[in-house]
Amino acid sequence: MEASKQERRRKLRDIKRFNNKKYKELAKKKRQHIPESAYLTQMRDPNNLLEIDDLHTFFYTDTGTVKAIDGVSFDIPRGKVVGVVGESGCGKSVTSLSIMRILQEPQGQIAGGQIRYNQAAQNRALDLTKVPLKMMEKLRGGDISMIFQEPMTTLNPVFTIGQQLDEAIKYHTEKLSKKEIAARSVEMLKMVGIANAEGVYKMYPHELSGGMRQRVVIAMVLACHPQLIIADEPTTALDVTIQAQILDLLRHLKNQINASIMLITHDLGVVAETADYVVVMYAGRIVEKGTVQEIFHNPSHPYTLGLMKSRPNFVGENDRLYSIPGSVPNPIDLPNYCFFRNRCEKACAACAGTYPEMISLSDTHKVACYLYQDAQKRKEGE
Amino acid sequence: MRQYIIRRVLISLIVLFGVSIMLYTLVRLMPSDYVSLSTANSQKMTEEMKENLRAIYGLDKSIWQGYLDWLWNAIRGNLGESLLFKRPVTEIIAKYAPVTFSIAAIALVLELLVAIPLGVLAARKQYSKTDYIITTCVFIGISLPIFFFAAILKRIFGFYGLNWLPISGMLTARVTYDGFTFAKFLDYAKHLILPITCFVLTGCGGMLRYTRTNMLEALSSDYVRTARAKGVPEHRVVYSHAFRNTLIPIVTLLGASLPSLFSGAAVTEGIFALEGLGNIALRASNMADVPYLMGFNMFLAVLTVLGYLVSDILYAVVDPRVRLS
Amino acid sequence: MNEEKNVLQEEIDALEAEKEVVSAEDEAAPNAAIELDELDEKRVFLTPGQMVMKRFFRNRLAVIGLVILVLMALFCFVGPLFSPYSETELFYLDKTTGEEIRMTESDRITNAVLNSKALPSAAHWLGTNEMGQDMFTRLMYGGRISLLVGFVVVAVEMLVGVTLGGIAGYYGGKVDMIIMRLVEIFVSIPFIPLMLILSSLLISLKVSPENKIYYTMFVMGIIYWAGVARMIRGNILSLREMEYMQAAEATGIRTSRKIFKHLIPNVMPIIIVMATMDLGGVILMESTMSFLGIGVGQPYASWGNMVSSVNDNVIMRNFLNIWLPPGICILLTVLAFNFVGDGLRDAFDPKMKR
Repeated sequence: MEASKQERRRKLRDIKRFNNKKYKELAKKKRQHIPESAYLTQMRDPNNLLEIDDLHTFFYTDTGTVKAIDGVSFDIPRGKVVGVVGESGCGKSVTSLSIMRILQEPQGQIAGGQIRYNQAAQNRALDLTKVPLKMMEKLRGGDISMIFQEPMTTLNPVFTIGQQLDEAIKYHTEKLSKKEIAARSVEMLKMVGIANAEGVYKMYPHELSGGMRQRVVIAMVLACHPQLIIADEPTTALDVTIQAQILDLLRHLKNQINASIMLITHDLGVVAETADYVVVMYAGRIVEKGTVQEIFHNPSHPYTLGLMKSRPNFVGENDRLYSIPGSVPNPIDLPNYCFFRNRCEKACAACAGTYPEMISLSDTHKVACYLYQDAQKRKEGE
Repeated sequence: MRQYIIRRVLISLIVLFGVSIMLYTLVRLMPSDYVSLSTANSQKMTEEMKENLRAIYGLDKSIWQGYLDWLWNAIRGNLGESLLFKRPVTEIIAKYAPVTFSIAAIALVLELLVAIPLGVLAARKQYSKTDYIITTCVFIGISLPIFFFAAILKRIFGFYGLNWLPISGMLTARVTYDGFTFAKFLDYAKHLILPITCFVLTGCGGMLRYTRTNMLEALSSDYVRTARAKGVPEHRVVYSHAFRNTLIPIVTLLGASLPSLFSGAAVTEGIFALEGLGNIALRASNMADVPYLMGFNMFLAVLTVLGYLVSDILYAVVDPRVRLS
Repeated sequence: MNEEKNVLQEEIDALEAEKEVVSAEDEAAPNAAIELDELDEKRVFLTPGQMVMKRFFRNRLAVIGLVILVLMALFCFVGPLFSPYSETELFYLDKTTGEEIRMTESDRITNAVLNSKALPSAAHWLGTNEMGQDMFTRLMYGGRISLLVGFVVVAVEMLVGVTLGGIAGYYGGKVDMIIMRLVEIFVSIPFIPLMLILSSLLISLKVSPENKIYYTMFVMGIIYWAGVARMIRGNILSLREMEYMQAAEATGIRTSRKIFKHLIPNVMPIIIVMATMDLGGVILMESTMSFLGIGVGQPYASWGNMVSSVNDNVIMRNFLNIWLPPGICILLTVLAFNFVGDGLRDAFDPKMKR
């Protein structure tokens, strides 16, 4: 007992020392000047807007390093909607925060990998993980915008809607007078379907309903014609009827300005309706990705299957909702094997081994599961 | 909004009523022949004044009758006559209040100038060395007994130490000034450096911590994340988005500190022999000058209640959420 | 309403049943359980209490504060046992020989003067004060009074404040209204001026100095409760708004269970932090009052009245040994309470978790 106590104390001390080292490294990195060569890069496919390549984002906490994202790779093609699905805590939101570089520092840090952004306007590709902060500020809101989950708290309560919209426009458009900016804001409000745009322009957030606020947020996000819109559960906190309106609006506006959307959600219905590609995440890794048809017609990973099954189905006669047994493991020092195997209904002998490689079922459809290894081998054999 | 203020004013009146009952009861706890007891030592006390006192406090009547009489007198501005000065209490308060108020007001402004920027800095660099140093200094400031700190300042900078600064009074004795000249102003300033330092260093700690805590909360809020996500430069995120929200609780704190502008100074005024209300109150307590103390207390209670009112109204000015509802 | 409750209850039952199913599955598949253990071994599990402790002890300032407090308590409560002198004892010097005479040796005092303002020596580590009393011994006794006053006052204010604040927050309505007006009345009375009135009353009532301290403690406790009550009420109100509290209420649990299982454990951290911080505040206030001569008075020692010797210019200039140590003691003790209180607050508040 005494020994284990000491052991634990030693472990905690090691963790603390390690974390402090990491914090210091980050602070040092922030002070350094970053040369252009460090963040300029090449896109693998020029049709892609964003390529996330083997991204690792870790949180250095007191009880150990949480590998919130552990080797995630997927692409967001230009003009398409990519849906990212998974249970709470699987790393969906952290992925988006990593792209925006607004992780809670110094605990949360991008530990490795690349996020390549295709800045077509300037004919270059940037590695967002290395871009200096000043440039990142320019990119945020301008090239890449983000819609957050909670419309009730995402707007600053002490500024009017107009002030907050103007601000978003001010930092990304040059040489606009105050009047022009205000006119643009009102125009944006109209565009997102707010009838009394001039009135709302002068209002404070608390005077608006949740749906209206989310519209304002969308107006803010679209104000500078972003190339990529990250929508982190944009409709979760809203009524079902308003959810549909907001999604329609988002899709409609996306087509108008030809942007790509990364739609984070745990609602498979929303994904099926809206997305072109789907990424399924579990415990910080991608378990399956593919086009929306592939995922919905041919779900392959047992986890995806579980997700599909646990959707409320009002047509069938099942009166009891299916739920995947167990819960997402706490991702501290996860061992290198499939973390889903304890909850998996189809676990086999091979699952005891290391984490499965991504297996291609088609050009776009990939899955990380041993069930399909044989199929792959056969394919290779042919 | 107007209804809210009317409600607040009514509540304030009830509170003042309660305070007056409490204070009066305290005075009535005195032994029955308190007046002759407390005035036995002072030969200046005439029979007439004793009668006056008895009449004001209604010491010869039942407690309710007495209280009502006293209240009626107090409402008409008659708080009795100070035993120490032999003049009406209201007159003495009116005479010495400006000194106390101006010193405390200067100190308050300086406190704000020190506390807010440092509080914001500490919050921005949470857990850094800067934060630790500021936090430690704040704690020392909060924990420092003001009288001890004043003594140290007097010993170091005063006559017995470096002899840089005067240690008591407001003007150099034996110097007369014609009107209000620059020289007189300088003399005032020189005399007030130590007391005001004392105020600021012991007083700004609380405000600083308050700023830091609220700033931390604002910085971790969703709207700050939104501001960052829409590409607002970091310094503007901090000083415009987060700070505007931090201002709300600070403003309410300011309203509540109105009474302390007049009362918090007793100890410092006493130590540096400044002719203010607090110092007089100290002297009055040594002479058992209950009429003055009671008047002073009532005056402060009115200010406190006013302070809460002011802070409520200020709150509505700064926070749009309150403005309408 | 009742129906709603039933539905909720059913849901809870269903959840419970599910849990059982899951655990049954675990037993059926020992393999899975072992693998989970393997996972668990890799990380460090801490109970909430351990987390609080750990966060507290990681805070260097808080630990320093705790150490100061322990040392101070030993100094003030155990120290006097080893002191050869008593708190009020006067020392004299023989006029002719210059030899020191203790107060007990009354026969020799006739031909002696007070040994006042003696410089530090082997017999008097911090010298003596203007009355000829041993400073070091008085420092210990003074601390004893200060700490005692702190604990008694905080106990009184917490008892009154938590009870009334809890009642106001829990029952709301008219009770809340009355208690809150009472709180406002108490908050509106400035403390030091009130103590000045009280002091002049005590003078006129001819209360002896040793009893004065009890009155002072009592009055301080009575006045300070208002702040506590306000804080507790606010917290209980916001707790009642919390979803988990509403959920608990919806299941129809007993009032006593609601209070002891849900409310008190959630308010406890605030009470502990507030009590710690207030201990510092009360000690500071007591010392200020004693300095002004309205708290503990001669011949009894208190750190505050020991510093008040500084009003004598000669002492301020030449006898730092008389006024500096008690002042430093006040500063250290109050500082330590604040450090510990702040450390506790950070430790209790999971939002501050690094």
